[in-house]
Amino acid sequence: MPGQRTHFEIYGDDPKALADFYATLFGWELEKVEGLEYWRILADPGDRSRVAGGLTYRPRSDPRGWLQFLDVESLDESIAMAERMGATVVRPKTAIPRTAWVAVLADPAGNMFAIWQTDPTAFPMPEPD
Amino acid sequence: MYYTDDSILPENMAPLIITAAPYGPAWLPGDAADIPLTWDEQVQAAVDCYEAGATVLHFHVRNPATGMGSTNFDDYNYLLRRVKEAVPDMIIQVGGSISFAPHTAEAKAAWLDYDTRHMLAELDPKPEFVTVTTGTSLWDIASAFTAEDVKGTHMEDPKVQAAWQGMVVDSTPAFYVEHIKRLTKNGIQPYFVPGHIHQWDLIDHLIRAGIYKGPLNLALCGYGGGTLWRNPFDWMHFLQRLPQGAVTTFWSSMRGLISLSAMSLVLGQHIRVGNEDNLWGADGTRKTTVEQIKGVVRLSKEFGRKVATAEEARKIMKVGTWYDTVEETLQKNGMAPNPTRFNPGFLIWPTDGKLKPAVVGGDSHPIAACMIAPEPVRAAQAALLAGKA
Repeated sequence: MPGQRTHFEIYGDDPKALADFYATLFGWELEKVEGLEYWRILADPGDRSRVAGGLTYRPRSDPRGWLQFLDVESLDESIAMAERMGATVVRPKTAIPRTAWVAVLADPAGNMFAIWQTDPTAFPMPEPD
Repeated sequence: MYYTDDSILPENMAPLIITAAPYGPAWLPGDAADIPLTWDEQVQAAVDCYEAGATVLHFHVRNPATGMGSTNFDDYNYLLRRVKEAVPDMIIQVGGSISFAPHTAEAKAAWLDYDTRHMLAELDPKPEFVTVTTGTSLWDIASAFTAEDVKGTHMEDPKVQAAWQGMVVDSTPAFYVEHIKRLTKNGIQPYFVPGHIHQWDLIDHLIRAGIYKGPLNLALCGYGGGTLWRNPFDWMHFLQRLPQGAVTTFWSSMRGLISLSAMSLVLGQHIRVGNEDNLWGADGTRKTTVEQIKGVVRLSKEFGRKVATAEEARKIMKVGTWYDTVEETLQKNGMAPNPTRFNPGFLIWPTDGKLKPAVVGGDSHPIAACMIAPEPVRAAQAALLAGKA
């Protein structure tokens, strides 16, 4: 549903240590994705299908806080509307393969948030190799 | 390459080595039904190709999180390990066009210029081969495509085609000499990928200069652009230029690959198929990598040529074999020896540049008239002629 939070991400220079920190603090289960430096946060270990968020290395556009992801119907339209109202694009539209399109914006006050458009056909354009 | 009367009979050919290229780095998943994305899918692609009859795997890595071709050294090592566990006998040939991106400040400081490409020599577990280009060239695969070839793919977009038109493979001696040294040091064999005869000439020189001392495995690469196109005479001429010991595979694209693969089959050479090169069957319908491999196996059976097992392929390609000297390398690969002081080669026989009188010899063939006999023989001939006179 548009405007609803889909998940959040936490960033750090040592994500494994940070994963241990949150696991201890909140009793979360953090599951490392095989072959990737990304931990899925299972806030309710009883329901493994519900991923509350993720934890990974710090991105270049570092929000210095948890990044919240909000659902939108159209990523392109949401980016355009936000820009008209004074927002800036921190990370351009990117594909999460076979899952969603995502972009990171900063509101006119500089607060960062991510928008998320579910799309099982999402895929980045390959570049000449 | 030399052919005798019976060379083109299948029983006199080496078993056919089929290379699979199932990772389609140029495509979006929607472009073909069998573009693997997740780690499990990428491993399964290798297993499926092996079970269908392929013994060499042309290896690329796609990062499942981003969907992009991976430039992460750790991703390569991870997938290499998993594929080697899943198909331990398959020969892995890593596509050498990759430049690894340094991911830490330390690596950024340490990896300079070509170092990001030389990291291929450091892969762990080690692949059997890494492809090596010799000579910079335009590698515009889209130049040989028709509208039908790219129908239903993202490459129908003229902007995408324009991006491919500018694709240049950079490979100057500053890259390939050092790269071959590093691969050799780490026991990874180069798989040469000349796009035309003069890139083969560079390989020939590398061997003669002692830069590379090992078996000669290579692909004739005909993708259009600045590489070979599809004129069969060019392929035949290229093949003729290669030494007898070369183990050669024909690489090309789209339905042109089907005709060239048939040509390769009957000429005793080897075949590569897969969605990286071609999405189509001969009848113009879509074919997956596995279907293409099965098609080659059928064709080979019809023709009567055995398809190589992994063990046979390793033997034919001399996997893990290295030579000690330039001379041994030349001999084992069926190449002419290097000139020496006593055998300087036919191009530099000593001459004073003057037309010589006919000489007497036992051979009436005209070629004998072109040859200058050694001094003692000339003296004997002179005496013989003087006696006749």
